[in-house]
Amino acid sequence: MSGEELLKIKELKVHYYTAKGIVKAVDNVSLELRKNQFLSIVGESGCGKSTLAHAIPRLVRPPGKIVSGNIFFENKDLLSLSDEDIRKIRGHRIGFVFQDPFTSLDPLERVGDQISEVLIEHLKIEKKDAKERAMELLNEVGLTEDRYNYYPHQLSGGQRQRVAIAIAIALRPSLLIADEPTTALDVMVQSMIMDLLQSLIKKGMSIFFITHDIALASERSDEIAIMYAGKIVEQGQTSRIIAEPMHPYTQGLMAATPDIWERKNVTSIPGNPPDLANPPKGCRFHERCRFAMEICKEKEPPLISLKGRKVACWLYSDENGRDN
Amino acid sequence: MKLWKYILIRVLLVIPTLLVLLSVVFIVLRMIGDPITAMVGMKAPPNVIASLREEAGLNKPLYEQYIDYLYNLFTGNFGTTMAVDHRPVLDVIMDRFPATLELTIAAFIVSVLIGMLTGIMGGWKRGKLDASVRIYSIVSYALFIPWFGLLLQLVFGVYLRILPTGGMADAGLAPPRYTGIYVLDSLIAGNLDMFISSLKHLILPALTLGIVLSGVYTRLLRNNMIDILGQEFILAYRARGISDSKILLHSIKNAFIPVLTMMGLQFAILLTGAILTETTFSWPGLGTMIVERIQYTDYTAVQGAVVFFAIFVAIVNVIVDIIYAFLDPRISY
Amino acid sequence: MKPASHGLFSRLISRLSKRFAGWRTAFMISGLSIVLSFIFIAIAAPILTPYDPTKGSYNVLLPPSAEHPLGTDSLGRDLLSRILYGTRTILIILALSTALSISIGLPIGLISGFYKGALDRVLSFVMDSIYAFPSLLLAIVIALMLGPSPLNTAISIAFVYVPTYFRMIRGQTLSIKSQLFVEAAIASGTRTRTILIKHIMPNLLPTLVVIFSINAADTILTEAGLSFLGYSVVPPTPDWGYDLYMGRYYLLSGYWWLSFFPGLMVVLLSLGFALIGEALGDIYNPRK
Ligand SMILES: Nc1ncnc2c1ncn2[C@@H]1O[C@H](COP(=O)(O)OP(=O)(O)OP(=O)(O)O)[C@@H](O)[C@H]1O
Ligand SMILES: [Mg+2]
Repeated sequence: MSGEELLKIKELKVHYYTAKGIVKAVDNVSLELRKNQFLSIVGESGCGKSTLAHAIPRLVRPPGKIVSGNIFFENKDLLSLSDEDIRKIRGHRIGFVFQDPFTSLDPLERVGDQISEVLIEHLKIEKKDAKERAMELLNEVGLTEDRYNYYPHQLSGGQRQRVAIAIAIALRPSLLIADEPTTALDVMVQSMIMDLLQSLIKKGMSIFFITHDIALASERSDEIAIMYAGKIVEQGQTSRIIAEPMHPYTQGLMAATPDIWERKNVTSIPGNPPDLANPPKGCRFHERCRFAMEICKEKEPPLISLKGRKVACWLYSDENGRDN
Repeated sequence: MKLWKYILIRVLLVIPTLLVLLSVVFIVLRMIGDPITAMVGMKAPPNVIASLREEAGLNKPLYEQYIDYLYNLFTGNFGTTMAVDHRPVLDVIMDRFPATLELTIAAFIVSVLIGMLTGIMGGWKRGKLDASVRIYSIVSYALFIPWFGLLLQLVFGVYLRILPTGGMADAGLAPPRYTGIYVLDSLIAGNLDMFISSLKHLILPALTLGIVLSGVYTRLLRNNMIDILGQEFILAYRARGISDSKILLHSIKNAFIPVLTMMGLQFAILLTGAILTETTFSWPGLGTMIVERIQYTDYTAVQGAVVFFAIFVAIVNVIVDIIYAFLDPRISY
Repeated sequence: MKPASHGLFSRLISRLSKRFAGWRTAFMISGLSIVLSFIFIAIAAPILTPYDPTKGSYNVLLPPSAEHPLGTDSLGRDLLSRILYGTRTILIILALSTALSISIGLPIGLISGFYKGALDRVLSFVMDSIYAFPSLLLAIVIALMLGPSPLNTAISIAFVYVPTYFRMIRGQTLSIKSQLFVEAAIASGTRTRTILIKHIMPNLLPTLVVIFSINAADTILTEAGLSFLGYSVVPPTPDWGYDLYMGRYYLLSGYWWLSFFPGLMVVLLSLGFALIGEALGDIYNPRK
């Protein structure tokens, strides 16, 4: 895949400082996203997907904190920007869509005004012009202009999520982060919203898509990163990973996905994800892994390049980091 | 429109509320004991008590009294005072009511301003400031109005001598009566001296009552602010690059709506406080009127004033509910 | 790594300490110590002061001195003694009125919340209406009709707080009733009385404690207000609100202590309960 680099995350660590201890929700994650690319982050609940997504525009709230690493976006180091400068990037260069459209819109403001507000904030334009532009945006996401005066509670879940997307793309950001934008919606609405997101790629946006549904990710994205317990365990071109999942966790995720065309047996991964305040030594997946070896309990596997992807598993590398 | 239907229903609901309140007043004033004996005291000669009972209409059977009572009230007949002036009770009430209104409105403004300011600061900033805000809300809640009022009188009236300690205006500076609200009347009369005099007299009572009541708003707003600021749509605002000052405004709006529902109930507390404040500052309102008329054994006047309070409370609650319905788009009618 | 703590007791302590973290602990401790000191004062009043609180003397309006730490009032009575004995008056009225409001508010709240239906709607409506009425005015009128005495004052105050208890108990009963274990008991045909007494009542206790502490702060202020207006106990019974009222006439002449100290006691005792209420309210309602 070609294309210019848009976002580069380097060795990012995000920790939550809780009464139970330090939760390493994102632990040494490195990722890249090119222009016009659709990247999916896939993982079970609690593996740190949202934390990773929030960290990019520096939205992590206490007790969470970005501990170390770099985030380069459009040639700027986001972590070293002033609060004011990062605020100008949020909503303007980076759009964000939240999981639950019921809670991510202000219940007391008309949805149209919420779109206008972000336009006025960044472009300093007149209210009248903002309103006009907001109506166009409503059309663009498949809503009629009369919805401008509706309050969030007067819209359906899918309509609300369309509004949230309209706000996120109002300023033509180059990056759209979507944190499980369809999880709260039913299947039909889900696929319409996904179509809408995919159409944005053609308009010059890149999409950083979070999901727990590997099937959804494989249908829609160019690239997939599998996340487990705060780490990326496998990452690469979607077609390659789906054709030949290498990490046992990826294999497990795929086996756990029902497929209505092939009548295969769905098998879930045994056990539960580890407590991130107290992660196991070695490979974090070893307690649930059927291929677990001695070394898995002792040493963390490095992320190595192999067969057109990156994978972190001792099955494919020896202790010296060489490929087997 | 649905909203109008809601308002209509809400207005109609006043009738049963009033009926309950008026019945409670009736039960308390006529069935617990003999009101005349209670007011005159046991030592009064029997013939005096008998004639007073006659005058107050207490000699009829109870159910007849009840029907008379409701009938008279719904036709706006509050009776005639039994002592001192023998005027229509409603006239006496209307003489005093503006003073109570002036005090309660001023105190209400003070309490909401202080409550919002402290509550919003505490919820927005947290930390040390928040701790002092919490302490403020508890301490102001525990303040005893007469004591706090006397403290203010002592400091500003006796030691500093900058504010008067009682009454509504200095001698000779009482404005001509248009509305009965001195601050307003002096403005209508266009007399600055009168205006300053009435304002000076209003400051201490309004501060006393206002500060004591502000703690409830402080507490509510602080808790609501913290609640709202933790919600996802605030994070969503930040993700859109909206500036902190605008986010603050949005969160205040959201935090304030639930406070509005409390204001109707809060109003009863405001009136309770007004009775004590009026007595502390010799403020000639309805509260002091009740206390005076009890001393004169003026049964009809006392009953009239209590009933008036009930009607007043019921109406204010309707108004608050209607304002709420207008302001909160989510309300289901 | 911390060693895992075993045993019910240590777990309880660690849970409590977590719940009482920070300001809540401070509120709870200061509130409890205030209230407990007042209870101590009420009991130990005769030991704490040599004077009879109701007996006058010719030493009128003395400022605070070694002999009379808080001075004397207009009848030459030792103000400290009056204040210390006044603690008894207000605490007795508080106890009586609370017992009365609970013994009325609890059963009707319970029945209303448990059976629902028309009775519940009527009761709720009546209670809400009374709740919206200025409490002190209601208490004044009842106290006036009943005549002055500690019991009568307690009755008039109790009447005012019945709706508060009713509302909370009713709401709690509704939510407890919808919990699984109660639904199971109802489904298995357990007798209603057994369900009310064995399943619902014990779970109401925490709510009762919280309402009590918040209400107590209010009750203190209402009693003091009643006696300030002259509708509580008969003089010369020592009573803070009444003493404050009497002292008010001398305030402008500079005899500030007459009103200051009785009022201060009202505020402190009310503050004590308010602090406990704030701490408890936080615990049972951990909505941050
Ligand atoms: N505010 C917080 N305080 C403490 N721990 C937190 C906080 N937010 C998240 N965590 C912890 O960080 C880890 C990662 O959480 P995160 O929300 O990023 O997971 P996720 O992959 O998005 O899960 P989900 O699919 O449920 O949304 C979890 O173990 C969670 O318990
Ligand atoms: Mg998430």
